[in-house]
Amino acid sequence: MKTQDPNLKDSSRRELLRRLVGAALGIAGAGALGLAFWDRKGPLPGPLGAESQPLPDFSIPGQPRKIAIAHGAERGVTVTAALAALGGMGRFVRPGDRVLLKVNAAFASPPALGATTHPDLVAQVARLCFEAGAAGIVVTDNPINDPAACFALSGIEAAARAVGAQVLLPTRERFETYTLPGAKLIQRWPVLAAPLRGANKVIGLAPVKDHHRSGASLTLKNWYGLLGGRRNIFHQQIHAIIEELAQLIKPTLVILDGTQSMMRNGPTGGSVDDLKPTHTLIAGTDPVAVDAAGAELLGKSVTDLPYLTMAEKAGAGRTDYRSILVE
Amino acid sequence: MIQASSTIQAPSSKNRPSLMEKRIGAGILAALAIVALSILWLQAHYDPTQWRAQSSQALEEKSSTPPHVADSAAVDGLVPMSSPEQYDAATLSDKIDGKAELYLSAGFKSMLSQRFALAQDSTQWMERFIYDMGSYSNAFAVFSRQRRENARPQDLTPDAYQAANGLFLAQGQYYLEIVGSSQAPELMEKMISLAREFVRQHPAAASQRDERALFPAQDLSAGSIKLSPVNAFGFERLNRIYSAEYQMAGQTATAFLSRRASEAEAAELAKAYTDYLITYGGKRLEAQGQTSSMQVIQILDMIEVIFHQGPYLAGVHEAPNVDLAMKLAQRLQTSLSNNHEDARPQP
Repeated sequence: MKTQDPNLKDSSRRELLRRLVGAALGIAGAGALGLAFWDRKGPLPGPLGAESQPLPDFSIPGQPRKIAIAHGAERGVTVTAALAALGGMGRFVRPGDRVLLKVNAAFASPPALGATTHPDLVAQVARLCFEAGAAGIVVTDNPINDPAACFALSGIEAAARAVGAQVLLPTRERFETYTLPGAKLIQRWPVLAAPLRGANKVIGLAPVKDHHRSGASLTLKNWYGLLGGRRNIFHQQIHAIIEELAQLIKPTLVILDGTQSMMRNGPTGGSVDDLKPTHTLIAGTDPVAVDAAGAELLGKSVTDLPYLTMAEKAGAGRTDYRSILVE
Repeated sequence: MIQASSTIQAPSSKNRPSLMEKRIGAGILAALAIVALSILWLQAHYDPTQWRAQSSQALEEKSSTPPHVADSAAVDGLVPMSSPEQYDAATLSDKIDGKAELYLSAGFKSMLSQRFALAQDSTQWMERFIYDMGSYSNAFAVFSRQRRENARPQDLTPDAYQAANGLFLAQGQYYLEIVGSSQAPELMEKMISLAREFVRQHPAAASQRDERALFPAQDLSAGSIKLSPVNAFGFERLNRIYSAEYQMAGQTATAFLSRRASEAEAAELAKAYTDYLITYGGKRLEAQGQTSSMQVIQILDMIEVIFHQGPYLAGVHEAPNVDLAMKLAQRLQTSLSNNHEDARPQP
């Protein structure tokens, strides 16, 4: 027959309770410690200043969304023709305007590779702006590689200087800590805002390129060059960041250069064999529509580039470019 | 006796865990198991582009350290135009933006770049990129996936070609790109010299025998063999897949091959890929000449053939019709049988 000592039973229960309380305190302590160390916002991109004011809307009030397409091998000719179809540069740039040309100078590569905005296009658009009465023109970008080398080797610096435009390099003081209202990604992020705040008209100039992550690099992806910090983390959410960029910048005009389209190995390319002479230039006031038309030069459709539909849903433009195409 | 029994039993009763203790213990073990599984899952889905353990200061210091590969810029008539820049997995996209993923997914280790100009004409320049991919197959993967359409083979290495303004080659664990600012012949001549010097300074072992030798030669499009390190044909489990394009009777089809660790793994992967195609609307077909290990699937008006032979997963991708798909599959099967002892069909 088995009996149990009541003292031992009590002792065992007390021991269990003691251990339970100890374990609970341990768990609560570890949790509290974790909570104390938890940085809800995650790492921030370097020293940040105060939140800045909203960026201006550079689109012209009351102007309808339109795009025009010109064909040819000479950028100077096709950009002039496309703008003429939209009513001429005078519809977008007025006397005394301060114009910012946001180019793609991402890489320190020669113009022949088509990885950057072609200097001939920069020169002609700047020339047209001055003819329309622009008081000053600034050309800028925050390149992937060393900025000075990028602007020099891409030929953009020389082209801008030749027509009297000023190149602004992305120096540290030209960035602001910016939060796009309602954005998930552009929150307290460094944005190259000083050139934007110094201008009252913004024109985006982008080449047509294949892009390994996003499918295509066109005018919307071109705004990526306004971001600073460790922006490559956005590559994991490339479509979402392009959608937010479409809301960040409301340009006066965008110009997409498909004279030579980079069909593969983008966005850097590396050989002129990656280019195809598609001889097309698209200009318009609706960046989503311009990109939807440009995607076709790469043999892609709107469904191949999810960020286009996302940007359309966010109100940045329309993917049905034919409905606003000026013949 | 009873007292003695009680005395003996008491310690044993105290040491035996109660039901409550067992439950708590099981709960803690389950929590630890969840933590362990979470860590394993996160490691399996590790994304090198997100790795940010080093401070920017440390990275700057690192970029100024001597390059890990010997400088092979000793070419007469070339002068350095910039300092060497070194990039690792955390910084590669600072140099090549969105294309970094192509290299990272193929096992990228580091990259060294530098620009050089002609001593006589500084407007003629080139940039050399040396990618350390960790292994020959990784280097071949990035080499083959970027091959230019108008490529002209170069005799620098077995895997080398010249494009209009660039030279591209795989040598050992390295993938080398030299991109010129123009197509000037004198620039190309120096680019070839620079590449030759690199190859001389980085000798590689004799060419390795891999799946490429097993593709049937008949109707094979020159320079079309590619190696997809991951996610071949949109199926995430298809890794290390060699593919080759064939032009047969004016039509195109792709053959693929991959040597797996065992016959069982090849069979399992063949089944998994077949199931994947069926899930996305594929329909099984019966075809003449079909062997027991072979599956013929029609999907989106294209034909896929999947089979395994010994440790090889093999098949035909996106053939325009069943006849062509089976013809190519049978050639592939024959080639496997003739060239590899362990790939002979089982009786």
